[in-house]
Amino acid sequence: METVKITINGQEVAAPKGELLIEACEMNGVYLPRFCHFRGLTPQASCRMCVVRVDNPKIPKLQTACTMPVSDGMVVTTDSQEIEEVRSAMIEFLLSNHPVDCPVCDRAGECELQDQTYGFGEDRTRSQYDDKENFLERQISPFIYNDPQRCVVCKRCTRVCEEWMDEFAITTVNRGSQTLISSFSGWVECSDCGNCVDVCPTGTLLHVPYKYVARPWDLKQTPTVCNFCSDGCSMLAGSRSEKLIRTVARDGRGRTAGGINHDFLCSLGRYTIDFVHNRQRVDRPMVRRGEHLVPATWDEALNFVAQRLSEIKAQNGGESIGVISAGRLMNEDQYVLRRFAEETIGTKNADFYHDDDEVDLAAFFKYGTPAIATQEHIQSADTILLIGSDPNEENPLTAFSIRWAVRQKAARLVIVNSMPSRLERQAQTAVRVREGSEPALIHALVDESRINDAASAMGVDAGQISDIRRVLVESAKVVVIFGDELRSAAVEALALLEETLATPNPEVAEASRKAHIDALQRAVKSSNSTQKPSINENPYTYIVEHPTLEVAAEPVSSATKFSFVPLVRYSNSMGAWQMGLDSAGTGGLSAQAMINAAGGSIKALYIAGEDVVSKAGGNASIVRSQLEKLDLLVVQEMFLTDTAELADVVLPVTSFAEAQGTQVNNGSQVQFVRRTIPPVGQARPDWMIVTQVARLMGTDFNFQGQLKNVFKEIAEKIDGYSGLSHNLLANEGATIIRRALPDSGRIDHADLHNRLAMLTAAIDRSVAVDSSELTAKAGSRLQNRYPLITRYSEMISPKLAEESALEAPAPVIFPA
Amino acid sequence: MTKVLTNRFDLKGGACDIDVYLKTGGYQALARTFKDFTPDQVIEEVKKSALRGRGGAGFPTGMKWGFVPKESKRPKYVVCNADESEPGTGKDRDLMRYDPHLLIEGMIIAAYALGARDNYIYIRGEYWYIKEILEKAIAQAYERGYLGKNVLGSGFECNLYVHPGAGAYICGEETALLESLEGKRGHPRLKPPFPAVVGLYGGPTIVNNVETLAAVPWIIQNGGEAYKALGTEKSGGTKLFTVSGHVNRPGNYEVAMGYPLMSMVNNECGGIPGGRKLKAIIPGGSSVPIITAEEAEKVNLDYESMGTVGSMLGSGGVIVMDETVDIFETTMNVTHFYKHESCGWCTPCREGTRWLFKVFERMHRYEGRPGDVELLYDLADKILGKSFCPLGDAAAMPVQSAIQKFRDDFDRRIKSTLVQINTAAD
Repeated sequence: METVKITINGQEVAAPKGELLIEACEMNGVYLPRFCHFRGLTPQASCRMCVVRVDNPKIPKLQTACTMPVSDGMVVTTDSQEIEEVRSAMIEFLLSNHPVDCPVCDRAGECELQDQTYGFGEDRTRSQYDDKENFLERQISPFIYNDPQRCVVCKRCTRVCEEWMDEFAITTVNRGSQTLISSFSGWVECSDCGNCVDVCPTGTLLHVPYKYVARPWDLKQTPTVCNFCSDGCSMLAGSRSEKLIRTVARDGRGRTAGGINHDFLCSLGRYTIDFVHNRQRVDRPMVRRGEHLVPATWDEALNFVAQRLSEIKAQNGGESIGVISAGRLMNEDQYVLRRFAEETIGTKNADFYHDDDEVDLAAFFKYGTPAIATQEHIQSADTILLIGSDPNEENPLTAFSIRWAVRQKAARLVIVNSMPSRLERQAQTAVRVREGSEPALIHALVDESRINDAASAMGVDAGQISDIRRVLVESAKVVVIFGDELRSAAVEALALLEETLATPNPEVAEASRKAHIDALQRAVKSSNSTQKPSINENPYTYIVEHPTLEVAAEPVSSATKFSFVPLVRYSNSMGAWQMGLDSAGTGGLSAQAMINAAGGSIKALYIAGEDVVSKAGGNASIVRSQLEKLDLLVVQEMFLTDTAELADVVLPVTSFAEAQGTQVNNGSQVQFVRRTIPPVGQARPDWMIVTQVARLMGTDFNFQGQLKNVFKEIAEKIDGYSGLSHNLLANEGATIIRRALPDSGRIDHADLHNRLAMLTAAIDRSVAVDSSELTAKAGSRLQNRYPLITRYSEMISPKLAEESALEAPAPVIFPA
Repeated sequence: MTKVLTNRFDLKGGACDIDVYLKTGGYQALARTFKDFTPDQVIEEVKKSALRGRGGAGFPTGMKWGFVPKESKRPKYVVCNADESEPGTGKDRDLMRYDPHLLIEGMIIAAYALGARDNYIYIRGEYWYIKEILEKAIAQAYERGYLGKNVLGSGFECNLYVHPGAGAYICGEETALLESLEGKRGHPRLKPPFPAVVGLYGGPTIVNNVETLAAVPWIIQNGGEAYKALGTEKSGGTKLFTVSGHVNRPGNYEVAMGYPLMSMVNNECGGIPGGRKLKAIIPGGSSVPIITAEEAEKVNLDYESMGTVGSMLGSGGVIVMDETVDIFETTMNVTHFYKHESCGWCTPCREGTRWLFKVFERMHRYEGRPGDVELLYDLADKILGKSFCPLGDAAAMPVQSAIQKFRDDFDRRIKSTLVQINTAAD
């Protein structure tokens, strides 16, 4: 990165060219106080705390460092008398109407206003009791409390809502000293991501579930990784007295969890964690006695399982036993389960449960491992192609990265989807196609001659498809983000994109990008330096003209033009695949096939962490009757789910907060999950239970009860993991697992094209294209997606029900 | 005296009709512009005239126009700032209701000079009846071919729209005006970039006051040099002043730049009623520092002379106060205005104006505490120069100057018993 020399307080230092002065100072050890400045948000310069004196170039007035890009030879003073006076004056102003009710404020202890008052303010104020105007504290959403009197109007919250989430749910209302953070109705309708609360520097916005629960200094804050969708956000899990209390991406003091997600978390990562302490947790092993599941000791339960499995194995052979795991179990669990199936039981029937409507990883990895894009790749992509998914609803961090790329880096976003998505607002091209016809796009992309056919199958104009094809050809780096709707042959065919859509030469890509930026600059759209774009306007136009406001990060290099993000469903679906716990790899029956064969060739099932009955949806009763045919059903589970209720033995397991291990996100990055609290009840980690059953059945895996030994073996045996260890991952954070790229020589082109043609031909052309607007509440699909967790989260579930039942309260109107 | 702006005021609104306007020499400057001037020559002529922005800041208009880049990827705009909200100022109102075509003509010439096709008049919401007058005049101009696809057969396309504000003082600040015009909340924007480079919808934009634009036709007709000759070396031409307060004939008066202030008060406005003595004058709208009677004797109505007594010409709203006035009350009134109109964007203005007013309130009840006058002065000092936009300065300057010059009026509001109690305790 290009650097320039600047002088801060007489000391010459280097800073990245175009970086904001406030950040350049911080890089060089000079902290400038700030409220409104926040990395990743547009500058606003309203709090006036970061003022500095700029002597070269000579500027008569004090300048805000948060809006000033560094230039070569700049001379800055940050610690003179006049600057200290301004800072303490601003603190005095901010406190002049502040209630100073720190003893009852949840933010106290991690409050930036407190910190900066100590650091830069006076020890007294001239503001008197009768100088203050009172505002009422109120709840503005199921998850947010608002105390307007504590507000410093830095507007980080509204900018986060607009720029990161694109929701425009909260804004400032009223004017001047009456300014409040609110929505227009007074009640906030949004996806409840809670990011506004996390970035709030004071106690103005507070998490409802955290209110009056703990003081920040009493919390043990453990950096860990979220367990819901496949994005794998890092978060700080705060626990107290062995209880998990909250998760944040960033605490009020600016301490972040690190990781891949900036300061971002979504509603699930933040508000569903109370399932960990749900009273319905199975806290001891249970064994079926007649009609009922009754508590048992671990010895009893494990011996029972080992004995019954041994009997069935002896009677019907190992192949009569199936092992099913869940995509949310960690690598170590998956690996031990695989060894358990292979060595102890001797069955090929081992699979992690994934539905037909999930991304087909077997097809994706058929010819090798295509380049996989991380969040960083997405954020620096030239063009993003999104097919058959709505990350905004299902993978919020990916959606955040997409918006970031479009906004900060002027990436081109092309969406081909059968469903509405809020990301369409950011898209350069958004094409709505027939339901289930997304695979035809891949057909058209790999075979230009089929564009017309594919277009008619998709119910769109052929010109649109060839436009998309042209954009992809002319782009230097393309990230393809695909979800559920892309079916097997189409997923396989993604490996062909690299050769069929190669850029003829770099000049073409450069010219095309120039033309794109030129078009953006010509477009008559809202431009704004300090504020936000209006809804439906392209937000990034100003940034493009003034690149200094956002330092262009070094583009993340990847050897190939195309890289992919398979939006798999669970936090460790990718890891389960990598551990080889997949029927496509083992050659046995898939999870669904095992259930279908129950009572036939399958006599016993060992299910770890998956509620196969609820998962079946409309077929739940069929699955239930299938499971009833089994001789033995062992379920490792946190709750008495529909599946667990049918089990002969239920073994209580730890949740992500109580277990250690590693998991792999959709960017193929392996991350270390730390243990936050001790196990609830008698719960044990999945891998440990399986190891114990195995030992009782006569196989010793030689892990000596140590998780790190499991990972040591994974590092030795699993492709791409060599050299990794828990220690390394704990220190380094997310680490990309690299494997060999697809071998195009292995692709049978004729066969693949045939299958693609069949896919295209099979599309039902009588279906109408859904051109509706998004109507469901933002984030609701995400919440419905993890029923196991959300059902047992009292924060999310009753709130959801309550919210639909309650009418919004009458707006609180303050006199002007 | 040569009149530039108020020639048709005597018609009492008759000039709203385009025929009357044409009969009295209207749209001749426009015709001349297309015939004799290239866009660059228009800008050159305005530069020569030493015309300065009449909205308050007094920035040289020709220089501002010169900042607009010649080549732009986005459309350029000319925006007329008719959001006249400065207390004590009403000149633009009369210009628009007595002579709307003058403004329209000025805007078309400006649009031609800068190459702007779509242009806006952002008018104060309370001037709804003037909006109707303007719209009628614009419709007539379209009819006669002064606006539209092909202005006077020159091939130049020019459109003009009137957009009402919703009653916020901050929207008179040019960048907040642009925000409001784009349909957003009226908050000032970060500068640089200045509107001349990145303005309305991201295009280069010139924002000029009504009076500034209305002077342009005369400049084109009579030449920049002639306009400059009307006024002083650095402040060219004439200016319209709104005189209010304790004078016998309050109203709008056009005088040449450099005209003595007291001459205007005593001659044009007929002096102070009841033979009372002058106490103070706010010479340029409520945001500028107040001046005493002695200072008023010395100054002339131009930007430089006003600077010598520490005040400013501002928007030309002259508020005359006689000896019966309590300057404390006046300043409190002004502070209330700024507290109410602060947009809330930045800390010093939002919190400072509220706090200032709180102190004023208790002093108003004669319950001021010892040190309150110093507190007021210091709070104003902490606002001055530290706010995001000039509105903070506008709130601070009147308070500081009033305390400096009329300290007695403030001291009277301090409750003296507190002093005694404190002394006794010592």
